[in-house]
Formats: sequence, structure tokens, C-alpha cells
Amino acid sequence: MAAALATSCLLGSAPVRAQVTSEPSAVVFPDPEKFAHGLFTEGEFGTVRFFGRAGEEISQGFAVGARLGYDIFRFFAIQAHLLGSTHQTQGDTPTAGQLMQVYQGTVEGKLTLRLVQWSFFAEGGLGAARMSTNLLYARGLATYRTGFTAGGGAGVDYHFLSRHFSIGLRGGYYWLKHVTGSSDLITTLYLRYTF
Amino acid sequence: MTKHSRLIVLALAGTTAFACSEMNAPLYFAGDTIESMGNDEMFPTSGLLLRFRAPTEPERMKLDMQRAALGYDMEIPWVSRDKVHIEITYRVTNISDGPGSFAILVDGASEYTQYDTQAVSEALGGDDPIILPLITTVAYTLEPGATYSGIVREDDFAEGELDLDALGRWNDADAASPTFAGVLINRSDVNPIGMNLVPPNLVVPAMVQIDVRLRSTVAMRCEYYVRVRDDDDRLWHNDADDVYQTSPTLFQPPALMLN
Repeated sequence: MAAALATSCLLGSAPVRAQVTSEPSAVVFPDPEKFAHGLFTEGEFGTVRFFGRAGEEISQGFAVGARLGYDIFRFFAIQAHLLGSTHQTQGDTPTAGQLMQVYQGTVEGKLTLRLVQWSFFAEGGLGAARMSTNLLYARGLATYRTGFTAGGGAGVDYHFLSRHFSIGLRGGYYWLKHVTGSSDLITTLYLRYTF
Repeated sequence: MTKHSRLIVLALAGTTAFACSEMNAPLYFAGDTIESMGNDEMFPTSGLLLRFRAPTEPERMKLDMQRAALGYDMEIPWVSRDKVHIEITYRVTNISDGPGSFAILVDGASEYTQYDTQAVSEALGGDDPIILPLITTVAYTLEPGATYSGIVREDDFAEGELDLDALGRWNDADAASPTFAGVLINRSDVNPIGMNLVPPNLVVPAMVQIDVRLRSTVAMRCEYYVRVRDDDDRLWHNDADDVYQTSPTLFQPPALMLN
């Protein structure tokens, strides 16, 4: 009898808990509001391909780059971009087979449309492109080693459920003012970290 | 700053530093195209004079100190082989109707000495001209319309520049080991004939003038570019700098010097 009373007292003092009235959904959709936003950085690698006169003289090359940006709103960010790529000259010229690097630095604006873990974005900017050598000048294709560049592109981003990280693929087409009739296409895979 | 932020800033700084280093990128200078008629008595030639900035006062003082430290009583070149590295990339096209062979001959001048194969050949005289260039390529045969692309490498220039300085400033007339034409016929690292007077710690002057000659048996065309790696930014490219003035002495072979 005493034991039954003690058990009754203990059970009676237990806190009240919520009752499960239905089975939980099999898929839990992440809430994009919980994704970090604000200051972010990106590391990227990919390729740079030239078009126009430069495309005849310079082969496609491997590129490495980085971005530092800030999400002003969920849908709009500004960012600074640095990219270096290495190329080999080609064609039936005495300078074929030489190595050269191209460095591009731009300031960009980025518009983003987010669909849960996926987002699609378009971006554009302007800046400068510098050739490591005067090879294009010697070939009569460029006036200066450094010149103005402007362009834009688009991409797709996939957000992990880890709050800070996402990966993506982007492509951008840039006009090179100082290289006669030439432009370049930058295609990269990136890893993004948002603080 | 959090650990993550520090790592990311470091990564960005590293990328920027890598991008800005340019890894001693070379500069290219286009030479005038050369055309030969075939078996030319005077080899068609085209030359390039590289312009360098004059040394600043501290740089002059450094050269003087280097001269005192090295212990041989000769000027230390401002345009030196260990700072300025030259290479030629060329393409030769056979523009005749028949097959023929060609070779590229390279002469030139350092800030002290100029060498001219044609002048030396004329000075030596004889029915069969003696051709002794500073640098030469192997002879290649080309079919009509065919092209050949090649490189006169930095190490070819390194050898040619040492030979040029040996002929100009360290000429040994000893018949047992004559500098002329011993250094032109032999690679100095294989057979140092003619190098007796050259100090082992010599600072070798680089070429400031490059003369390219096309020697061919049929009509051919040669396009070329001179590629220069300039370690210490000594090439002249700023209007505010004075251009380094050189007045090299034309090398005369011993036969002519005796006349």
C-alpha cells in the first residue's frame, strides 16, 4: 500500500509533456531563413577560354580564384573577385607554345533567387585584366598589358544543411577592352562559406 | 576575428600574392622578318637593340663594391647574364619551289664587345668563307612551303655571351689555347679551350644587341621574337629613367689585328 502511494506521488509530480498526435513528415525541408547570410568568401577553380583574336593565339587555361562579398539583402550582394589563369599560346606563329598568365579583378553585383536549398543567380561587374607578359602586344593584338574589363554571368548554388557552406557552378563572359576584338568566358566550380 | 575568418583572409591574401607575383614573366620583342634568296653571299640579317635603364647611384655603388669584392680589375657589367636571360623563338618557311636547308646564326653585342660573323669571315679571307657565329642552330632541311619552328635557348645564349666576353675582354693569343676561334668551336663547359684568362668568378655580360642571320640554300623566310627574362627590372620602360648607353668595340680576329 505504501509503495503504491509513493509511486502515485512520483508519477503525479512528473511534468506534463506534449502529445504526439500524428506521425512526423518523412522529409524535413530546410528553412532558408536559417542559412547564414552577410559576409561571405568563395574559393573557385575552373577554366578561362578566350574568344576573338585572342582566342586564336591563346589556348584555354586552368583558373583559380577567390571572392569576398557581402549579402546586403537575401537577394542582392556585392562582391570583389580575383581570378588568375594560366595559358599556352597556340597557332602557327613563332611564339606558339609560350606560357602566359592572365589576372582579372572585378567588382560585381549579384542578384539571387532562392528555392529552398537551391539558388539561381545572375551577376555582373567591371574591373581590370592584366597579362603577365607583353606577348599580345608583341603580336600586335594589345596596346597595354593591363586594361578594362566588364561583363556578367549566371550560376547555380546548392546549400548544404550545415548553415555556412554551399557549392555552385558559374559562368561569366567578359569583354577585354585592351585586347583587340577579344573576350573571355570564365567557368568555375566554387565552394562558398558564409560567416 | 574567429579562427575561420583568419583562415579565409589568409587564403585570400595567398591567392592575391600568387596572382601578383607574375613569376618573373618574360617580355617579347618582335624582330623584322628576314628573307633569303638562297646561297646568299651576304647573309640577310635583322637585329634588335635592347634598351636598358641606366643604373641608379646606389646600384652603381653596388657594382663598384662587387668589383672590389671579386678581385679582378675589370668592370662589372650592368646588363649581366645572371640578371638578363635571352631566348629566340623563330619560324622558318621555305618559300622556294625546291627543298633546301637552313641554319639560324646569332651574333650581337654586349655592353663591351660586338661580334659580327660576316665581318670576321671577310677578315679571315680565303676562297672558302669561314663562318664562325657566336651561336648557331643545327641545319634543317625543308620541303617547298614547309615551315619549321624552333628556339635558340637561354643556355645557348649563356654560352654565346661567355664566348663573346672571352673574345672581347679576355682574349688569349696563346697558340696552344687561342681564344679565337677556340671558344666559338667548343662548348666551354666541355672543352674550356681559349678560356685561360677568364676569371672563374666572372660576371658575364648579357647581350644588349641581337643580330639574327638566315643562311639557306634556297629562298626562305624567317620570323622571330626575342624573349627576355629581366630579373631585376633593368629593361628600359619608364620615360623618367635614363637609357643606359653602350658603345661596344667590334671584335677583330687576330689575322686582321696583325695587319
